[in-house]
Amino acid sequence: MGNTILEALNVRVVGTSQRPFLVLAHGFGTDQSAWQRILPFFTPHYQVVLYDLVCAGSVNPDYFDFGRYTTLDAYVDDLLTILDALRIDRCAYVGHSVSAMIGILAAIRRPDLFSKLILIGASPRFLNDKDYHGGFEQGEIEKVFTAMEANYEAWVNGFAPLAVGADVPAAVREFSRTLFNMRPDISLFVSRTVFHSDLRGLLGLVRVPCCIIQTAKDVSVPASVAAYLKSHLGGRTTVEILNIEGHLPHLSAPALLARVLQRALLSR
Amino acid sequence: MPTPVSIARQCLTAEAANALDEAVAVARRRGHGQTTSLHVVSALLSLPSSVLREACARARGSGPPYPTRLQLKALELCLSVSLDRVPSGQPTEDPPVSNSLMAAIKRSQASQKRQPENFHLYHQLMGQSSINNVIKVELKQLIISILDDPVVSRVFGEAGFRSSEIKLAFLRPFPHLFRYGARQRVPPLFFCSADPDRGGGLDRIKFPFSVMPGFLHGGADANCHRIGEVLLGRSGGSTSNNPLLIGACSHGALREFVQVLGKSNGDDKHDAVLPQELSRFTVIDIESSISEGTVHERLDEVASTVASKLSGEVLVVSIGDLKAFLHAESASSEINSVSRTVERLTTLLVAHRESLRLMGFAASNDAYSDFVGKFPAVEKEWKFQLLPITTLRPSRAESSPRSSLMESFVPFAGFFSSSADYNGEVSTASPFQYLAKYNLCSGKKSEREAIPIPKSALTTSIADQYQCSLPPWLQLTELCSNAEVKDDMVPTSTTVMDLQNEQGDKPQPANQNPPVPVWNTYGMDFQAKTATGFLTAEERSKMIDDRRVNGERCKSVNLSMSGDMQKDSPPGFSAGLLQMASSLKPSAKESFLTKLLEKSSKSEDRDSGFLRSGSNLSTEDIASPVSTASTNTNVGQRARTVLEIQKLDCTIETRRSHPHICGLDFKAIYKALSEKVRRQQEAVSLISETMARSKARKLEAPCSMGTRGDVWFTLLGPDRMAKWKVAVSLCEVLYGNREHLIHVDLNPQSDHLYHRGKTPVDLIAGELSKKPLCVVFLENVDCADEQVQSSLLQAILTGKFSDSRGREIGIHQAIFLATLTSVKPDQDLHSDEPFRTTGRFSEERVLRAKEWPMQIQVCQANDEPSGSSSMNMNKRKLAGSDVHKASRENLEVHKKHLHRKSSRHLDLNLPAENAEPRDYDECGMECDAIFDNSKAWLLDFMDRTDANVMFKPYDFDTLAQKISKDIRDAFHQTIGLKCTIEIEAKVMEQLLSTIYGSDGDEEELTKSTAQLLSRDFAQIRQQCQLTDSSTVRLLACEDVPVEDIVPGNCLPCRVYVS
Repeated sequence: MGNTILEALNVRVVGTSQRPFLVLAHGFGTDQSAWQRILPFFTPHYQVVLYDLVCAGSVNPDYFDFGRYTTLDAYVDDLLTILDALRIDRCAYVGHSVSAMIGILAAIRRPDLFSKLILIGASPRFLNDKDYHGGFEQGEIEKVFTAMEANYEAWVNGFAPLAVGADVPAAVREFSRTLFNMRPDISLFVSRTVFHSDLRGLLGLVRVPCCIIQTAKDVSVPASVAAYLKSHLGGRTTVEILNIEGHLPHLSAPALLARVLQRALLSR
Repeated sequence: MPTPVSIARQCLTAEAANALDEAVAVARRRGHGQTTSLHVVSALLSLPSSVLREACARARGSGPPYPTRLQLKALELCLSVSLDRVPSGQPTEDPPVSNSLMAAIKRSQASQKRQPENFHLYHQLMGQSSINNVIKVELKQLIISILDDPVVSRVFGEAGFRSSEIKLAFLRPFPHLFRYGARQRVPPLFFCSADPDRGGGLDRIKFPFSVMPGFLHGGADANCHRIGEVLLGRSGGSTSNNPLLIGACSHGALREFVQVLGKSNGDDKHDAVLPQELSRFTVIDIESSISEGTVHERLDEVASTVASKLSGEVLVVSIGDLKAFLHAESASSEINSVSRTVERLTTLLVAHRESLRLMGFAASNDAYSDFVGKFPAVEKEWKFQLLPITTLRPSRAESSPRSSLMESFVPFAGFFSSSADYNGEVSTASPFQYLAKYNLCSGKKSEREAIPIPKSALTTSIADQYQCSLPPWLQLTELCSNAEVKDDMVPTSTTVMDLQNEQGDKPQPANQNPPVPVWNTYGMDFQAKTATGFLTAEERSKMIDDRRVNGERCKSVNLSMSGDMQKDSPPGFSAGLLQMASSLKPSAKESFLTKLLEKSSKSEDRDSGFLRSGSNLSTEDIASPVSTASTNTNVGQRARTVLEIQKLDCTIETRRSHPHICGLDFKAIYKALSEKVRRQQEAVSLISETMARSKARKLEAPCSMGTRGDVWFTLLGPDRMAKWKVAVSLCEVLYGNREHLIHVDLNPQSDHLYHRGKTPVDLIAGELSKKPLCVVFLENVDCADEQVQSSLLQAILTGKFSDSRGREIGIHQAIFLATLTSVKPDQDLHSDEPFRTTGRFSEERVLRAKEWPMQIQVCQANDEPSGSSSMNMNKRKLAGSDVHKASRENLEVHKKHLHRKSSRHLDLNLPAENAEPRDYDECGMECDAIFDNSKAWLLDFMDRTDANVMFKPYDFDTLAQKISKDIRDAFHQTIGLKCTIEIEAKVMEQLLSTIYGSDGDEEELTKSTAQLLSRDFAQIRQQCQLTDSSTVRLLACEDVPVEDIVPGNCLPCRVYVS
């Protein structure tokens, strides 16, 4: 099982041996290549573990089991299986977007495995609820899904610049590429899973120190969510607001993000 | 020509290669000379979990209506017949791969390369040698290619299969779905298979994305599955098997589970999602009874039920929301009731460990912790296993409005409503749910009969809707570009923008300065800074040697002394003392201090001895130490450190009565620094205070191993020279010499010799590893590249500086001084600082001053000061310099401190060695790209340094006025009031540069300069006939040959009189 999953999800370990492990987990619509501009900052100091989520375009779509990946727990299983297969007993975890959620769940299940969680663009729930502002209304989401179904490419082209936010054409291009690489049905399926997830009640179970990295303006995550996370996460939690726009700081402002990550990783 | 098996294997993934091996084995068994596609098919069919077999089973729909088993039997028969017909060749160990099979492998390679999901992967591999060697054919692809083989398709045809059907079954697979039972079996993706005309519109609706059974049921299924696992005690090694669902969606998940369990028990046939063992489980729900107050009756029921259970059967008590236990504070009777409930449950659990389970949910972790807080015994006795539930499952119809998507399927409205009747509890969250429910009931038949729906009809309806209401994403795009908020559409962005505004109000630099102006000034700053330097390191050392040879007595005295000092006492003598003093624990302090005293008194003796004896040393004697140890340039400072130690003694003496060791460093450092850098008293006191504090911190820390001794400063503002001096004197006061100073200019334009071939980060790391005790002087830290930035940040946080290869060097003893010319990192750099623009003499100009020999020119009022009329006296030149030297000596004798001052000239221009700006535009561009990040980094860096020290600008104009006044006074005293004197701007810059670079008192320096000049003036008076109308000019003599230039000294050591 272990090796199969390592192969299937393109797990790579790069960096300097004998250093602490650092897991970089990409979010929805990207794959591990999203980290490539962040990577050089960390390879000298860490053994960086990279992997693709099963929904990523770079993974053989046959591995995506519609019966299995119905909740985030299946993704958490994948992550934990990977870490176990690599015999990692402790690591720092950087997760973007959906991977931030996965990281939270994984840390609840295996608190001893994670020394620190760094959550970029994280949200415990994207849909609004009473007393909670997640940023999306159910109706809006359905429209988005409709748009995805109708013309995936058009949706990608509209969504990518919006998600990237900042005016960084290279980042938009890169995100469009990886987003379009996802098979449309998988993409839709995953976004449904993500949008119907709700981690609010569980945040208190997290005991691992967390750092929430949030850009000043993010179409997917309102800034209030960062505050919500900070107040509800059970561990010691800090919030870093990046003074840039967009949901994908690792694509649009890698150097800045890398620095903040570095700091977050080093701070005790 | 058949291909050897080994070569063919190279093109295959492990799985496919296994299949090939099997095929080879088959061929060998049958004694065939080659391995053909037929062998592969045979091998594939005989494998235990054969994908080919599965595909055949799926594809059977198109064949004759025989049972699958029979059809597969037929296939095997046909295959063996065909294999029998294969001519047997010479039996070999590994029958080579036939051409047709090899061709199939090649075909599959090609098609695999074309696959979109692999495209970028192979695109990346393009650069490598040969793609065909790289692509490993997957088993699936191999089979598809083999099915194309005419021999194979004939065999399949004979068995009643169409190989094209099988291929299709492969290409649109859901092989894994077979594991999940029939209800999850779905038709191929992207196949529009609903035909409304057929079967009265009750056939399956399929449109491109509707295949979501997993999502619709699986989400809940997964939850149910996990709950089941916990109840069975299978999950995660935990001993407890009472699940407590936590999460906002946990309520729905619990209800779902109860439903599913109840239903499956009623049907006597379990769903695939629930483990078979769960059939032994029955649920009794006491949730409602808790609120109704009938809980005890229910509990009686529970008790009797559980008692009547056969062994192996399990009763699950669902206690529902834990809140019910918490919100019972209104009446004391209720509280009693609740605690009695808890007690009874506990008793029941203890009594029936094997046959009773509890199950409950809490919307959040807080509720659970409150619950445990209220009923502490529960945690131990109930042994809840927390089960995070993440997936939202809208359980109330009214909370989830019908999706707009549904409206686009008006033609099928009847279908939806009819399916809604299927299960009364179905939620109406999304149309997919109906589809799935329907899938469930329509079963296998519909799946087989799926026929492509006219795609156009569906897409148009979707497209219509798509047009009438743009998806929010797209609308958002427009919205963002206009920077205005349509609140009805996007509540998100309003809040985001509000927050953004709040952010903007904070003093965030980036928001306040428009980026473009920042850029320009930044570039200009670069230019300004780089213009200041002109000497490379090599030239500098040469210059120092030259100056030695120049033979100023005072220097040689000091030099010899420092040389002897080095022989007698270990290098870094005083530094060692200080270090030890600071690191010692109070108990050892006493003895140490006495030692220190002894040593210092010795050095004092030595000191005086040298002063007496050192004066008669010749230049030759000192030549060698100079060349070997270039670091001995700080001759004057050596003497100073000796003095410093004496002072230290005093402080130590005083400190003995006051046991605050921190003050020791503070005073010593403060004295040393303030003498060197008189004009920056505030900065100096801040630095020394910080030093003292950090030392004290180190002393106070109980275990010396873990404590950090590194101190970090950011030196802001102008006055480079003062910063440099601070660094030098810090190094000297701490370590006794300048060897422990690491000086790196991070300005990418500074073209130091020692920079070449090394990245700055490696340079710093290399130096740090050589000298762990050091002062690191990092100039222009705002220009640091990303590597340096990250290493520095890491160092400041962890105490370890890592080089580009990740090797770490401890910096626990280092002192870091990072300089920054701007006043604030976020400020527009320099251009708007008043001292830059208003003054006549700026720091850059002064530091750029070239060291031309000075010339005194005498012109008559009617005389043109041209070269032809002025006579250049070569002899006078030499004589003049001799006189000058003599005068220096005299000064030395009479004024004790002057040797110090003149020796200061040695430091002159040391930091001013930047290259001329090479390409301004290029620089601007480069900076542009990195600046935003640099700025953020810089702010961060400065936040973390121990102190940010502001340096005041140096007032050159006032000094210039003073100099010219002193020179005028001297001139008039010597020559009289009749003549006038003019001082050229260049000369003034030189003089300013000299005084600026020295750390003595300005007043005295200007005076002594004037005195020196007055000697020259006296000479002039003797030689030239000065009339009232004569004008004496002080000029920089720029046309002297380069070798005549005495570098490093701007004073008029050579006076040309013309």
